[in-house]
Amino acid sequence: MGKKEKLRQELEEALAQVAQQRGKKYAAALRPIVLTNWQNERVERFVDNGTVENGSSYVKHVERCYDAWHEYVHSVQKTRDEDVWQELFGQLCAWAYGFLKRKLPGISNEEKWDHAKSCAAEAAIQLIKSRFPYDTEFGPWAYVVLRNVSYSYLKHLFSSQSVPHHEVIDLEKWEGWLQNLSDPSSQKPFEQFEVVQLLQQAIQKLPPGQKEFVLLYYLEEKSYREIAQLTGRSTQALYKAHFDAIKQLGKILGDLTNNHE
Amino acid sequence: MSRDTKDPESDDLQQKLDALRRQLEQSELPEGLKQLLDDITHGHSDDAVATESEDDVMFSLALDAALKGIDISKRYPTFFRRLLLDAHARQDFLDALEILEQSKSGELESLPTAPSYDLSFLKEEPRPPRATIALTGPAQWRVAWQQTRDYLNSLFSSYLLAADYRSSSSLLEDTHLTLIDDLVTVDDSELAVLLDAVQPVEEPDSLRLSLLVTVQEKQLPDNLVAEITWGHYQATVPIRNNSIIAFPSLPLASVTDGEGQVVLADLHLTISTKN
Repeated sequence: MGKKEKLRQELEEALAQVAQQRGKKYAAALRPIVLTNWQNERVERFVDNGTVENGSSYVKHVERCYDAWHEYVHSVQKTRDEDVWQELFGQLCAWAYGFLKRKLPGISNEEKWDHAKSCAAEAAIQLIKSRFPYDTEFGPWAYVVLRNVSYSYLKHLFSSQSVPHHEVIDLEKWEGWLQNLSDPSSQKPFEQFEVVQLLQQAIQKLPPGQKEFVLLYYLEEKSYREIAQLTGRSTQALYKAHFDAIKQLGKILGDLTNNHE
Repeated sequence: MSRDTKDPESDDLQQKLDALRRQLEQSELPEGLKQLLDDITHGHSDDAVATESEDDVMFSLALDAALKGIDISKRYPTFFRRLLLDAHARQDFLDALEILEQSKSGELESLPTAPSYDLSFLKEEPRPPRATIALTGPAQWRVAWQQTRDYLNSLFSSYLLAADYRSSSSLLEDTHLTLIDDLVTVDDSELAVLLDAVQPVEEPDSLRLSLLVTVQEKQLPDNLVAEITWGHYQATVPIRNNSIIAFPSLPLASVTDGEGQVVLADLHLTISTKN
């Protein structure tokens, strides 16, 4: 039996258990959700990336999300409840406005607001019609729908202009120090203490926020939650410090190893 | 994500990185430093490359995890490394975190006008039509749905069908849309019918249609068939209980205009017992 089929079997067994525990009607509501996610290889991704252990824990995960979100999703997609939508649409507008402020810094706020409302309206229609997979929280899922719609809106709006391209890290900048550090055939391989010294020097050269993050996270092995509590910084600020520090360390180590030669 | 084609030099560098990792595994460096070096070197590695369709699933999961204070470099290491490599995706992730955090704490940028919205367009959005049920003999029946092209156009929207939409951001995932989601009572059985359409990222000029028919408390008759007629597309497949039925791939050109932007034909789905 293949991996996908084994997963399907686990899902079926778990759904049978759900039927026993919570009734056939409830299990019948979960079945199309779970099987469609399985068909779209979503379940496989969850297992592969360790979000859940197996098919059985995936069904439990969907069960939790279904209990948490079904009523709300029903009021969004089926009954289209006015009060629910006023709040959700306001949120979509605010997200779209925040998104466009970051993507279109050169235009007036009024113009951005107009575009934001258009993006939010398009996202609202997509939210009504898209299938909520019930294996994630509604907020991040809705944000991703909004983001995708906003990108395509911008693409159509500025069809003559190119959309931002991915900036892949320039590998050449890394190559120098990596070669020195790792080439087993190198005449002068770095000794272990030199690697530590280099890292220490590089860390010292980081800007204060990044240095603080690296010391707390890598050396004191604090968690994100602990660092957030200790420093009072937002999650976004911590991730930015993390990403920037790693990029920056690559560059600094490159310079240091060049000097070493 | 688009990455440069692998060349012999990058193969060489990859070998060196692998050698470094082996060196690190054997050394007695403090764990934290090993992890740091590992993160720096992994930022260069090809194992961080994910398919485009994985991105959106991972994006919303990672976003959710990060907002809950979970360390995504540990929970989703491949996605984290991918963010390290891809400045655009990284910025998108940071923007999303910032917007959602501020939204939660009520600190988002103030909006230019008061938040009162005319949402009548949501009520005007067409709703799916009801099924037509015909009893054709003892234990013989046929259920039919007709989705009008107006409904289908509003469902897909021109953005979704347009081929250039797919290239507007590599972060887009397969588009999943529900064409029919209905519950009908036939022959004393309650049938749940779900017809999904997927526009794959890797095959944007086609749709994959899949049908799931389930029945509560009973087994479906074993002689059920489903038929879809949509423009120049026609396909018939047998239905198995509680199984997802995949229809042959549907070329968008068979149901849309030359630009691939407007659906020109109604969709007909029929589920019936076969003699």
